[in-house]
Amino acid sequence: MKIKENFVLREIAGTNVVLPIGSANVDLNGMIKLNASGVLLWHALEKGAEKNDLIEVILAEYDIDKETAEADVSAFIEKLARIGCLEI
Amino acid sequence: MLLKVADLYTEVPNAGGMAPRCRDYLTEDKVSADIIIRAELYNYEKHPESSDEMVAYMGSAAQFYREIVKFSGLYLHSSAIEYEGRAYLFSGPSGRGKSTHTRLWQSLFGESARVFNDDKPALRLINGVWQAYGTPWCGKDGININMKAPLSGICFLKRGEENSIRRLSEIEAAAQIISQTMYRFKDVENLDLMISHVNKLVSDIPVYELHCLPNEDAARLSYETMKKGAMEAGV
Repeated sequence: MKIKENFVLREIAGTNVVLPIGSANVDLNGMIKLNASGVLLWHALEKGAEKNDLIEVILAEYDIDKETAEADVSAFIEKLARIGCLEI
Repeated sequence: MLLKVADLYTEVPNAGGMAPRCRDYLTEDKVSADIIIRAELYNYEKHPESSDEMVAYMGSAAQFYREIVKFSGLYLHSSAIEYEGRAYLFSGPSGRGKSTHTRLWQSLFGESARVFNDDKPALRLINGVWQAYGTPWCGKDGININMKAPLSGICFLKRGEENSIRRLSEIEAAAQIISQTMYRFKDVENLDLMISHVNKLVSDIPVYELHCLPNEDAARLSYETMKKGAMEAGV
């Protein structure tokens, strides 16, 4: 899985926001905002990563169990897929 | 035509009837242009339903506003009014009543309140102060005054059942501003410049959301709130 080329992560007013580039207008109210773990996963996906790689990223950074990490990663992947920014 | 727009020397082609709009911006200065607009980039084929004048207007505006990010600038789709030496911008999508609202300020405050652009005033950060400028891109029948004033506030308009105003958080303000400014850049470096300008703008300038009826009370409310906010923010 990889982030599509026309989506970037940018910090706007202190918030990490996913922006579609190359479109004429953007409605930021519909744009997704990422928290710290989301930013980590995003950077991993920019280089290309599978679900297990992402779980490893979370486990390396946070003191949580594997099931929770897996659930968080699944939810995150689904959130990105919904806005169409993931190449599966 | 060599113009001076937003304190930038700008070459604008005559094509598409731009000359009358640009008249007040012509300069005799013998300098090279900071920004050069090219008529050959106007995309007539892409907009067959639009007049040549409309294509030239939109094309020249797009080129100018893509370049201005390199000069600490951006535009806000808004009606800009100057009063008491300060500029206030009323913004929102077309049809939200931006011009109606600034006309209400004029009916409240008289001739000393001057609308100077009804479509795309330019903003530039000059020596730590956000200046709002008139530009040739002033709308269909819009007022066009070649002037500048320091920016005191921005207000996004929404139609309402009653008049109410609230201060937006920085992220809310940034979201609204980005939706009403140039967003499509060929290079991501220029997108990043625009974002950095917006980040600075929302940290310096108070931004509000006004739900309102088209009446003088709405104008009084926006003026009093924005003036107070500006004084508190030191802008």
